[in-house]
Amino acid sequence: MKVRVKEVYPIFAWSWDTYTESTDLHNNDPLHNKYPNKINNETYTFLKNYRNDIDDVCGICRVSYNGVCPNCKMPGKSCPLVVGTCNHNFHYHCIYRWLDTVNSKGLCPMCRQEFTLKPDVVINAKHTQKFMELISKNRERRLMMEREERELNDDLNMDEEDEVTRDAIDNAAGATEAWTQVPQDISDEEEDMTYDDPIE
Amino acid sequence: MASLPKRIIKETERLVTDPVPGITAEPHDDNLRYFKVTIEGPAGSPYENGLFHLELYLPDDYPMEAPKVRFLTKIYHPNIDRLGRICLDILKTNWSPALQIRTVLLSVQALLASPNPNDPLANDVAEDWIKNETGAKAKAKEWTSLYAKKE
Ligand SMILES: [Zn+2]
Ligand SMILES: [Zn+2]
Ligand SMILES: [Zn+2]
Repeated sequence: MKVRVKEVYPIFAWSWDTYTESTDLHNNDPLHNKYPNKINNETYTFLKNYRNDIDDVCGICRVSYNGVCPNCKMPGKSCPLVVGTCNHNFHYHCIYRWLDTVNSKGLCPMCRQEFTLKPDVVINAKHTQKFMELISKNRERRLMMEREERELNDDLNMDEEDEVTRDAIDNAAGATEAWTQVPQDISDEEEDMTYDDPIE
Repeated sequence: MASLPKRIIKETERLVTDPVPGITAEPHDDNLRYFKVTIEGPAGSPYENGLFHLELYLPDDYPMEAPKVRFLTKIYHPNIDRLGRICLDILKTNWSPALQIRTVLLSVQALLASPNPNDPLANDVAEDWIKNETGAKAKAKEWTSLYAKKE
């Protein structure tokens, strides 16, 4: 039998190989093990579902990890993915922009732990340096904010103390007045007695 | 005008097709970052049977920056001031881009159900709330029937 090939449709599929909540499931799934050796309809369905999986969107821009962040056009190398130590993944551009804001305090948007890159993950390697810089910048910022807050609290406490001492002086003054008045009255009767000024 | 990020389109679609009970949010025709919002007063609260109008705006930097939300309907509440501004941590220091319009509006609704006079924005209302809770709640209820009438 002679077969003539009329047309060829090259098909290419790719996906970031990263940890998601569903990775364990996928690894135990016989469908996953077939891929990429055998390209068949099941695999396509799998890939399609994989991409639509709710776990597989960036928690910041809500676009698939295999898609692009809002500022990019080409997926893949030019809009890479990073994996957090907390196992939350984001488009590099999305998480970088977030961590670069003062509001972020350096925390993961999903679990609010300090966001660091998971060590020993191949796709993280290129970004380690830049993220380390960002992390130390955020730590400094946090320390500065804590210091400012402490100083502010100290100032407030000092104001309060001022008020307390002022009250104390007022009370003391009031007491002195009362005190000095009493002796005057008494001194009329008992001339020999002397009274100490409590302030002195 | 810059094109609308996919995330905002997705969020808007979901708000319309799968709305949160007691909450409506509709984008403005001229500006898809500006939403007209209504929240029904939660049952069992002094705001019950009231319909509150709010405006919500997504700043250019959203979701790196929190949405701006404000009550348009007059309301007697310790965490909402006379200009309708809301004191809610997730709208300020505790914002996270993992939160959405949906979660923000749910939090506002929850704030109506449980006012927090210890973290006040409207100091006079909060004071009233702490000193005389029954009276403050009665006033909130009165304002609800006066200003938050359902059409
Ligand atoms: Zn993203
Ligand atoms: Zn990008
Ligand atoms: Zn996390």
